Amino acid sequence: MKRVTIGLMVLVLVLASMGHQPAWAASTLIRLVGYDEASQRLVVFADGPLTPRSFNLSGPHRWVVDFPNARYRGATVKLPAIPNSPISGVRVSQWNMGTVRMVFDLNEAASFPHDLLKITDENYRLAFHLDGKRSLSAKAPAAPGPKAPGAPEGTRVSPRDAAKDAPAPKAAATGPAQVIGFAVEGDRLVLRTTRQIVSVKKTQLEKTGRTHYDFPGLTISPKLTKRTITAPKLGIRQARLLQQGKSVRLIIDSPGRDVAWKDETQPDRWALIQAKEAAPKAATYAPAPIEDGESGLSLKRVGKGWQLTLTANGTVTYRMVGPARRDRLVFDIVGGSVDLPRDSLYVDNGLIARVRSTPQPDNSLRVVVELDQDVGFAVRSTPTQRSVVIAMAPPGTPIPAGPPVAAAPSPTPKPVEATPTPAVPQAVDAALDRQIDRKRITLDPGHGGEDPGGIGSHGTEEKDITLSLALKLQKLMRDSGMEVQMTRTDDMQIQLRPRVAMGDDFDSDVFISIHTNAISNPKINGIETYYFTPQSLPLARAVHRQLVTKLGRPDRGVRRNNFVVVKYNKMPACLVEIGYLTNPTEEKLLKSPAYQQKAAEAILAGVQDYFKSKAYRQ
Amino acid sequence: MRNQSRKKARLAFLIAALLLIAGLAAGTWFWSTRNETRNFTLYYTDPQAMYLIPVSEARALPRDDGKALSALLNELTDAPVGLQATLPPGTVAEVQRISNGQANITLQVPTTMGSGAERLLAGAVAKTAASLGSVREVRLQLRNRDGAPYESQHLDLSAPLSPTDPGVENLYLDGAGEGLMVTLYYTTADGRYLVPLRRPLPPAYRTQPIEGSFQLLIAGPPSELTGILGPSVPVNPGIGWGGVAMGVAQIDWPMDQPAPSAQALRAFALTLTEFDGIRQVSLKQQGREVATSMRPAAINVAGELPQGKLPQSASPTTRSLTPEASAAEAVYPAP
Repeated sequence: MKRVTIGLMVLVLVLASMGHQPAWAASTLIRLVGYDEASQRLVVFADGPLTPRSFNLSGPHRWVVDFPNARYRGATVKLPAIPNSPISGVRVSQWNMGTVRMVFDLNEAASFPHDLLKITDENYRLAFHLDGKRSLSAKAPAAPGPKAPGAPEGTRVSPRDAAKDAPAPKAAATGPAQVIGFAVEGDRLVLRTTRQIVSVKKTQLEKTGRTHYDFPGLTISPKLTKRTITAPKLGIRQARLLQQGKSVRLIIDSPGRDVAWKDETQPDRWALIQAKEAAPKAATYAPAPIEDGESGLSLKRVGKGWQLTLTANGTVTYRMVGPARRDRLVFDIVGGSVDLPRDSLYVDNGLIARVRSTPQPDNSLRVVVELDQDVGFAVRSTPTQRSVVIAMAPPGTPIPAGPPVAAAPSPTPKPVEATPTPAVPQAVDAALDRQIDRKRITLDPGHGGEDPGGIGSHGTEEKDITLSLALKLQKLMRDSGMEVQMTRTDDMQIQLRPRVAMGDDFDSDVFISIHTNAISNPKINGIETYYFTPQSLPLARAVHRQLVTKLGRPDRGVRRNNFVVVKYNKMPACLVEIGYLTNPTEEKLLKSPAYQQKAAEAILAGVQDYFKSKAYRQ
Repeated sequence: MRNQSRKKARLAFLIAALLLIAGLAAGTWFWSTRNETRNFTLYYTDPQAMYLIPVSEARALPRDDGKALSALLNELTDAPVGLQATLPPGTVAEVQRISNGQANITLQVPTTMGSGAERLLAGAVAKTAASLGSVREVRLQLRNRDGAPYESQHLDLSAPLSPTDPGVENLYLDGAGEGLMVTLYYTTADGRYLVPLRRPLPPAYRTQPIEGSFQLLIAGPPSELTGILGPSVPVNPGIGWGGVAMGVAQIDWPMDQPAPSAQALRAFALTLTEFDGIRQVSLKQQGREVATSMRPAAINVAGELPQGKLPQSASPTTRSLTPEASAAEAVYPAP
């Protein structure tokens, strides 16, 4: 009897425990807390609705927000000071078994409105508006379903623009006029301001396709000066802001000179809209090539999934890091460089919570895609090897098809003397030529002024040969439709880093430094070409091949080396040594205008080969 | 009376202290100028100025690293027979100081140099300095013949030079495909000096990198490098690969082939012991050992070196390999 009683008691206890799930297990999980710099919101990522309770404390000032019936699993324990806000830090912790507490450390007493957004049944976002744009009253959850980013497809991901229609903050309207936001919103490039902009001066630099908009009497948050925006759909190759004295300058680089915009001004914003479509691409046989210098992250909705594309300034490969987890994908981008904001990108589309990146000691870039849910995914390199595409879709739905799969990711750049330039079919050759027409080249005649460079046994100075050859090459390139900038056009001395900077400022597609060689042994002769970054290797190879073929001098190879004029360039760059001035035979050749002309033609042919090969691959 | 004796005592103490300080200073000076036998490697170039070639030596050098390095760098202007200097004749090298592994070096160069000459100079200085053991990197300042500082119009000297900088390593890329790189030891065209050369392993040998290295070595240098490099081992199709047993690489030596020269044995040993799993090579004729060698202490020896082990090439690729390791696990370095 006693045993039966005990057994019944145990049974009752087990049944009771099964019927009553503990509060801990039933609570809402807070996964992540992060600051979205562009929209000035502090976002709490959770798997269910949150009902925050807040109160203020003083001495020092703090604003405390409790989330009852919640637990915290995020990695961030303390956020640093948030610029342009009274927040000197944010701490997050599990206050007790059922409550997560966020403490805003403040410089002055303040509280912040928030709203709750339902993404899916298991994904909620609670956003604190640090710019005080919303009232404190909690809003009803938004309609279910993924929230599409405001930017058009193919545009670089800009942070969410949920607050884009909000009026300018009243407090700010009385302060100094300041740019507080800079982002692509829909079909516009928008500058959010604390006051209406009253004066804009536009300057179009015809030669370079660059446009300046100057806003007198305006200041800018220093953070925004670090931001660059790429929006091909708006005809914007790159846009950035600069504080110039008492005015702000918006610099826009467009891919062509036939792109125009119109601007519109509202009390709290100033926007640019494309007025005229860019001229159609000459070649239609391939997707629009990604322009050099454009790099970053873009996001595209494909079916029920998303396609995230990381485009680099050069050739890149990828490697997955560790096994895929339910809540994140981690991979390294190797080679090239990708312009990503230092802070996280809050994508928040129901599938991807945010994307963050960290440079690694081996110069690769570690990219972490934090997920809202389990996904199926596929990672590919594009055939150009300039982009890595990560296609993701919820379980049970097809993974969006990406671009054609490239060859297996190559862990190292191609070797120097690799395969020749692929033969370009005649049908597309003309189209490729038209593309090459528009290319910008920086030619760098080595040495100059008091620096004669190498000196031949008959007194020939390197600086004279390089200038003479570069001028011949400049003419040839201009005749073939290229835009050419020379780092010097007469006998003047220029340091090496300014030469590199000139190439960058000109937004060159390639940089070519022209030299003649010198060594103490007069028997040594031949042609050498140097490069530094892997992205420069195809250019170096193409130019070197033409030089060796056309000049018929010994081939001393393409080499990687630590030379300034090929090391710091943003674009592919090579340094050609077209012969040894210290070798009497080559000195005589190098002095000859006919030989110089031949060398110039060879370099031009090499550059054309490079562009054709690159465009064809694209 | 008492005061006088106190004064005498103070004077005696002062004299003793001064003598002690002078003694310490003299001792330090004597120690720093005193020579000791040290191992080092000088880097010259082949007659075509393509590659850096190490020549190791053990000789009396100042104990002070700065003075020793100054002496060694000045020797780079005068190459041994069959090689070419990496510093232009008349160059004066002076080591300002060595601290925390960084040597500050001034080179007064009497002539202008092209990029090729500067490449060799930078590599030779960085590698020669590193051979002393206490130097990891070099900060270089150039001066013209008048002693006035000038900036190189090619090299990036804003950062210290390192023996592992791009362009310093002897590299040959033949287009056979990227991937696993191995270090082989051929000779200069005149056969006098061994030359380490890194080149990619053909895809067929990716899973047998040690045998692949052996086959590349006996095949000789690439034909494009004819006139610059020569074979370091006899060209005889009868020389065969016998596999690896207990860390010893076995080479089948044909009966009709005379015993290997010391240089050929050195080339086999250097090439094959680049792999971590190999400690020795053994040449056998019909199972009978005719020659054996551990890893030599130096590549090219200009004098007698004490016994020791030459560090393997600082290549993460070959370092990670063992006979059991898969080639796919190798790290692929950029060229």
